[in-house]
Amino acid sequence: MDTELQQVAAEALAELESASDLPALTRWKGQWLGDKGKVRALFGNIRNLAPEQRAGYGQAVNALKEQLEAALNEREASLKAAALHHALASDTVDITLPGRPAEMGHMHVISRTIREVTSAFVQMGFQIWEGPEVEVDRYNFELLNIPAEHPARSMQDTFYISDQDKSGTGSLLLRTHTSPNQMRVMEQVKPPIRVVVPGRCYRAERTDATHEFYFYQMEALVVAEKVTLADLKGTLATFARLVFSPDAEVRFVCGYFSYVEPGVELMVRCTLPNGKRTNWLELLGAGMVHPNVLRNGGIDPDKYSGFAFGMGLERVALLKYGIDDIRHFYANDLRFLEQFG
Amino acid sequence: MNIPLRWLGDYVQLKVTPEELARRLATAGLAVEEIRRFPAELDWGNVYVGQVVKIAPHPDADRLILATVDYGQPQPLTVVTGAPNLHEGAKVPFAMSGAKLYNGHSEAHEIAVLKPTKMRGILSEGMVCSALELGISDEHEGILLLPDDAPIGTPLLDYMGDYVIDLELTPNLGRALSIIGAGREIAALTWEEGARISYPEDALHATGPDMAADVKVTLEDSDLAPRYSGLLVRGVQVGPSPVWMQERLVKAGMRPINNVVDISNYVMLEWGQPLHTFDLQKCVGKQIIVRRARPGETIEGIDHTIYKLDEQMLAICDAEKPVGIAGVMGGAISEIDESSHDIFIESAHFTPLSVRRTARRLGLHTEASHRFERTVDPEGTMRAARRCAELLREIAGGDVATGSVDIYPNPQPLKQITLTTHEVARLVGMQFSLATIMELLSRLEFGLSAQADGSSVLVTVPSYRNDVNIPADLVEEVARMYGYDNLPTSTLDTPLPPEHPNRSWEFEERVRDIVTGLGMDEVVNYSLQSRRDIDLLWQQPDAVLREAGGVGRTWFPADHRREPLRLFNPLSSEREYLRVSLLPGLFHNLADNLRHSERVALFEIAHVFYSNGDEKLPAEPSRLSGVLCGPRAPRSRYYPNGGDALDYFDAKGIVEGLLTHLEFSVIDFSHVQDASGLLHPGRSAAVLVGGLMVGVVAELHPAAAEKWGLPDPPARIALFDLDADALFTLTQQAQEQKYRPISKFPTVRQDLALIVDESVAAGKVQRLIEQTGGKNLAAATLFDVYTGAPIPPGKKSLAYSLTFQSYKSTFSEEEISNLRSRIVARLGKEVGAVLRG
Repeated sequence: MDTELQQVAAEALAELESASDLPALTRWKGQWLGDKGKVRALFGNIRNLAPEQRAGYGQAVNALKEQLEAALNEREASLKAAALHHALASDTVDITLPGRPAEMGHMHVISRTIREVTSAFVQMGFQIWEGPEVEVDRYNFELLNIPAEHPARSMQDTFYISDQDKSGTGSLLLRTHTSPNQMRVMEQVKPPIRVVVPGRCYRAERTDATHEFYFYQMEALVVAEKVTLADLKGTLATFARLVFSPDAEVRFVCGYFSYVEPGVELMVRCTLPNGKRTNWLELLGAGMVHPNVLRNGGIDPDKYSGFAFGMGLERVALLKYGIDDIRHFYANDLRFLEQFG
Repeated sequence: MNIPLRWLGDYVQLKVTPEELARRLATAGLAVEEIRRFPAELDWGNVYVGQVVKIAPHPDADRLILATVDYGQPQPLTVVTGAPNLHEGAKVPFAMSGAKLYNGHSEAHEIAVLKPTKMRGILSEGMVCSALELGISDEHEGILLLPDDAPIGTPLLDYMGDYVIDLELTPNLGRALSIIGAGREIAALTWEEGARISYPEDALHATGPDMAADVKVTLEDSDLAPRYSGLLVRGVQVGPSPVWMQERLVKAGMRPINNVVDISNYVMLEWGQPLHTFDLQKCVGKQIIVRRARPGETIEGIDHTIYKLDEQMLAICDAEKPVGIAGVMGGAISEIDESSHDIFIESAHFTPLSVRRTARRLGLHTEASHRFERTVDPEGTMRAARRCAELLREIAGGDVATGSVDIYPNPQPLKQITLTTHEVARLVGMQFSLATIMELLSRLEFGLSAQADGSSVLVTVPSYRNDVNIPADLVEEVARMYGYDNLPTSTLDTPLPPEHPNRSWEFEERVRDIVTGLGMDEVVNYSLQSRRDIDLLWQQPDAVLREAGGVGRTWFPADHRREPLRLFNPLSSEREYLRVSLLPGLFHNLADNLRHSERVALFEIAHVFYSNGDEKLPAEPSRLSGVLCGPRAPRSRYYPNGGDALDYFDAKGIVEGLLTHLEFSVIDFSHVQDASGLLHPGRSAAVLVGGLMVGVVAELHPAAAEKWGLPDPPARIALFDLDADALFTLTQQAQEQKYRPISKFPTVRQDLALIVDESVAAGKVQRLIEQTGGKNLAAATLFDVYTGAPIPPGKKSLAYSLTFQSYKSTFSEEEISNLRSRIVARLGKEVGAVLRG
């Protein structure tokens, strides 16, 4: 009897082996494991056996059934895998063909720079303020310790708005720097003050590779008790590491701006993305807020001290991206704009 | 300011290399423009100090001579030259063959290598050189004669070679506009190497009759000239100044004129005190009167230009008329010439404000005005005058009169400032001892007197330090002497201010992200534009956009159409007005970029400007504008023909995308009529958010495109122009709640095809469907618009995909059928729609 079952098994497995596709498997399943299949028929033989043989025979047929089911599953899985493999083989593409274009615009490099620079200062607890581009002489010069006929005015050629009394401190002009915002902020809030004020500025100068009559600056003003030059150095060193490269270096040299004392100029050197080390580039003028300016802002210079600086944002971009000509910025040539995300 | 280092060496020994010196100067605030080698381009190789030992006539040429030159070698050499000024015993620069020199017959500074040449049959074995040939100056008449003590055989580079440090000085550094002034800084900066300043001897040999007999000086306006000093030198012989002085002037960047003028310039460069020399014979009445100019007075300057003076300008006058413009320029009438003998030396202190004002009004900028504007040392007038007189005596054979003029009605005491160690630490962030502070300040000649409290010092400020007035100024002196790089670095630990959110800044940043995400490139244009730009935009200044319904809405808000703000001093007519719209800039960007790019989609977010009624400052509203032109997608294997042309619907899609991302729920586009001629009459719409017009989206009128130099049809230029301030304000107002829970129940999708008159706006049909469907209609999407057979003429078919979904239960077929019937019935009633069979 075992021999008989073994023969059945061998026959079934041989047929399974020759079933080469899923329909053939289905047919095989009906033939061997179906309700009218051959294994079912073997169960029918039980009643012909002596009662003591029935249990053993039943178990053997069950084992045969399980063996065939397992073989079927295995065969089915292998045929499915082969079919999928075949289907995928014919679904192969030239993966080097160009991707389907997804149009994404580009932010202007100066907008991106402003975002990077302001984020660095926001990390250091600065607030972002804004101020008007058309200013009064009083804010742009007078209150910043630059009275009329002061030689420091020749450092900043100024566009005036016509039909105004040009000599007076009330005359309208295009701000030559973002520094008037020092006054505007101090007029609105009391210390502690920790702000940056980015914006457009204008100087009546001829344009060349390093000068534009139109440029962006970012003013910073910090006023509190016990703000020091050492804090200014630390703040700018942190800024340089955040915005340029982790190994950016800063140098401080003495500089003159009538609204600060002592005055500082910041030089920066950093590593470009291509690994090259840059030269020292003069990046900004800074210093401790002049006592007259604090006083003009209604702040007691004996109690409070502060620092301020005005950063040329194009210069940040020039240094950071290795751009060689400032005139690219506002020519708005797509071949330039599209180089920056 | 040019500092020739050999000249500097008269007062300060140079203890470091020129490069190191330049570095320290820059660190201390005296920016170095460049370090120039002197000579600049030539190397003076093979050029030596020689002496003419014998002069003989050339046998075959009358105008040539043979000069035998000893240049320190056993065998002197003979040169052939035509120089008129050689004599036996003269010291000369002698160039041997191989020397590189400028061609003496050309002012173009061509370099030639010297070779032995035969001149009229005689071999010239070298050359005696002119100043031009050596690159010292443009003087080519005759050979450069060296001082008699020049050592024979010394290479000329060792004898005369030099470095010139060119300082670019900020306005606070007037004190360094002289060799001695810069020398004081240099001595302080190389103090630790042992450098100290030493001043030239202040000796005057005055032996002539008292000057009072020959000149009377009156100072009428001491408010503009706080001090007026002068000396008289009689019997001066005007002629060229000595070679050494000319060389120094040239290196310092001044042109030698004659000995009198050169000496006054020399002393100005040495001490920083501008001097003026008057030919006394030419001053009527032998009077010098310092007074404000009278109405209508004019003066011919030494530049031979006639200047009109006004009553606020200080003039130096004789008994009748102005002979000089105080602190700015001398007059031609009193100028020194060959016949001058009696020289009045003016050494004055004029107020910076007055000189600056006068110089600016007259359009003049001179060595003198540059220094006076930055304040010269009020205590230095007499010393400079004495130096000048003594040099005139030594060099120009003058006889210095005894007596002097020195009108100084209100002598200024030296400033005194108390500096505490606490103040230094408070500003610098580092504790300096009083001893260190005093040591550092002493390097700069500050007078110091330590106070009994042990923590403060009374500082007496030298008279030449007009820039030091308050303790903070002294703190800077301490810091820069110590070295900014040596100061500590710390992190801010002061309290943070109360929060101050800047929502409009965040809004603009968000808009940038959204619009770039929608495929547009950001541009940043100048805020200045031309009159033509404005006129082209405002051909019809009263252009008004009207909604079809009739409510008038201006194209630009009414205020924007006021007269634009004009610059008083524009750089060019292209940049004369503050911009009133971003569109002209974008049109120019578009035209420029279409020369090399196919698809151009640009936007800008920025301020425009217009006067603000009675407000002092103009309004600076923010606009968001964009232009699009070219194929929707670049040509590629996916779009072999590059996609369709960008048009109104692309601009509208971007505006819709933006408004949706800004989370506005009630967005509408309505018909407008544009009288400005800028917009395509059939393709322009007002953009409304919550019923408020925030701008337009349109195609550019082809006639306008032509005027802006933009492409003609079939090309299309789409644009939008939005009021960014209005959008920002709307984002800050309460909106309908955006969030809706997600329904658990399944959606049912059905198509709905309708036939309506062609004139029926799709937007209206959409609105009716949405209103009727209510909250059970999750979406209604128009997916087809069709005209033509079998649709009857004058009609169009609109096909919508409707998505129904309930929040309460799964819809039954009957419920959906009812909803759909209600929609169809409403459309039939309101716009005559019928179901497409």
